Amino acid sequence: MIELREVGRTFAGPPEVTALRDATFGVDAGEIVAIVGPSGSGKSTLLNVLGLLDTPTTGTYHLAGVDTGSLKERQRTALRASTLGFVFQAAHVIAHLDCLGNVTVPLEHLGIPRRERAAMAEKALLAVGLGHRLRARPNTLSGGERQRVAIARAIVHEPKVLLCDEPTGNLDSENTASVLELLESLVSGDRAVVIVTHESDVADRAHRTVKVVDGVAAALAA
Amino acid sequence: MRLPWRRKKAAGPDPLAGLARKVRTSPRDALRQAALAVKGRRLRSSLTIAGVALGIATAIGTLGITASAAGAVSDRFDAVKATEVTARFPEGIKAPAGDAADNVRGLNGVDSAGLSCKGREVEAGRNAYGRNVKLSSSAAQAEAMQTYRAELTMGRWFDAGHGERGDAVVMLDTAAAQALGIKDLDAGPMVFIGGTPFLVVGVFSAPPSETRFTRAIVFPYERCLGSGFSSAEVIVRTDPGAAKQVAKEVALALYPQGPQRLTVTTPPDLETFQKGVQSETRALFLGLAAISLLIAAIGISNTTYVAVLERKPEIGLRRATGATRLGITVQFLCESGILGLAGGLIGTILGVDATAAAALSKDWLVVLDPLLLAGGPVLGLVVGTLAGIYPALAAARMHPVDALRTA
Ligand SMILES: Nc1ncnc2c1ncn2[C@@H]1O[C@H](COP(=O)(O)OP(=O)(O)OP(=O)(O)O)[C@@H](O)[C@H]1O
Ligand SMILES: [Mg+2]
Repeated sequence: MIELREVGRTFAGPPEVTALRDATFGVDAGEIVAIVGPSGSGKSTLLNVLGLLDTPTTGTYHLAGVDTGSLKERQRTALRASTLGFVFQAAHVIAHLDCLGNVTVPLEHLGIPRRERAAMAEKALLAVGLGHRLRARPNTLSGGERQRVAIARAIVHEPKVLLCDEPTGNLDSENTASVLELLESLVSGDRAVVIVTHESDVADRAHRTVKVVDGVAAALAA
Repeated sequence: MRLPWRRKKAAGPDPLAGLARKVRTSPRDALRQAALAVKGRRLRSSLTIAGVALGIATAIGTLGITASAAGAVSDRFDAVKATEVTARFPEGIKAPAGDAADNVRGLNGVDSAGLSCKGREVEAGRNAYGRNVKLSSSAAQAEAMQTYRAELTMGRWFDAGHGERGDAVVMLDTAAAQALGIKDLDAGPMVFIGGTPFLVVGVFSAPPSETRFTRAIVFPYERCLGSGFSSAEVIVRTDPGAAKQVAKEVALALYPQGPQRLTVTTPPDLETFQKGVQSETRALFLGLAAISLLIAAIGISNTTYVAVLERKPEIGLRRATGATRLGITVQFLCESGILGLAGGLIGTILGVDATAAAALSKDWLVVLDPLLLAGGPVLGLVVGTLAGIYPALAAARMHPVDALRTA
């Protein structure tokens, strides 16, 4: 699903910062992979590269069999929108839209016909256990519920890879556990989940761990 | 400037065939999202809309009120006045003989003309000893009064003989006749001035446009040649359109010894007058309208820009989930366009109301160009969209990673 070969990312300065170097690892469908490491080590940089939000300065990155380095900007956008789902530390829900409206957003940009959107969004909200809050405004939801809306939004278009940057960073232990459970349930025969975290109990639930220290990513054995 | 969404045409086979959907945001979705954002951010939206509405209302009100005022001016503008020319003698020149008016009547384009002059105020009574009333006095040829459009209500006008013989006769306007208690001329009523009796030969209704015949006692014109009278003038009624030409010739015909000493009054030019109303008042208020629109535009630009900063996560999220730079630009342009259009609509309604209120309070006819009614909302839309360009481009330029970075 994901194939990184000697991927590096250097931010042009000044000062020039090499936030990631020589990352070589893969993620297969059906896997949960945790990316761990100290603060500032390059975890988010790695995830942004994986998410096609950022372009590596060296190395090659194959996503779903496509060499992403050869893609034009619009093709990268299309590949990202079609095959990836994002969950961030903050839920980033849009305040003036209700849950259904928030979850529908990715479908709009993918040009999915209007008739199909509501049904897909409803299904996703049902999957995260929010079937009863379809019309709720985000400001009436708890932090855990808001993160569930974000997860529903990340899976509504059936992505192949779910990329999560500190998805439980803003949650208490109870909510953390249930969100992790939810993420585990979303892994399937053709979907992988990548979670950036610095919480060891989150990392413990992953099938594999990639440790990043000072920009050097090393895959640890399971 | 390099637009953020400019890109080269993709060539070759699509490596994503069967894997990825094409990303595009339909204009309908962009509009719907923009409408939801405007609706969802109520306070900010209404303030912005109010700003635009104020500008548009000022513009529409200005154009509407000046148009109504100009219409009223031309309405009230006495069509009669447009054919009226007067030539007045300055103090110190003796009034001309009555037949000088014949020279004026001989000019091309002259319909009628007559001489008159003003006298002092007099005290007049029905008998030599009784109660007197104060009346203004003048002396005039019958033609002068007729040219001023005075109308005979009783008796008859002066004739040539009255003046030539120096008859002690007068005419009264209806107000003077009433003040003196004269109801009819059947008994040949007399009026006493300083003990001298005058026969009242006729009563007329005073012309509305000339005060010298209002509540007045009028002597035959020849009195002007004597003492106590001044401000001799000829009043000329011209054929339609001939006023300017007659005005050039009247002084010479009346007073060849020194035509330049006469003061010739021509009818005010209706067109120049209207233009004057329009160009001066309008320019002022349109300037104000333009300023308020500019302020409104800056307001929209500012609110939208602040909104862009506030909504960084939303922008980042949309970009991450497939919105292109163009899609983001269009969405924010739609938002500011909607704000502008709403402001334009409300402003048009307010402007029309203001025009109607102003016109009705002055009893004018409401004159509103239908083009204005359509123009208001369109102007709002244009102002809103233009004001949105900068924030929309700023939003489109934002990198999704930066936009998504929390704190
Ligand atoms: N746009 C950028 N320009 C320059 N340097 C950057 C940029 N983005 C990140 N960096 C640097 O790259 C390094 C790695 O950053 P990154 O955000 O990947 O860390 P992280 O592992 O996610 O840390 P945390 O756990 O605190 O989120 C940091 O030193 C950071 O300052
Ligand atoms: Mg990070």
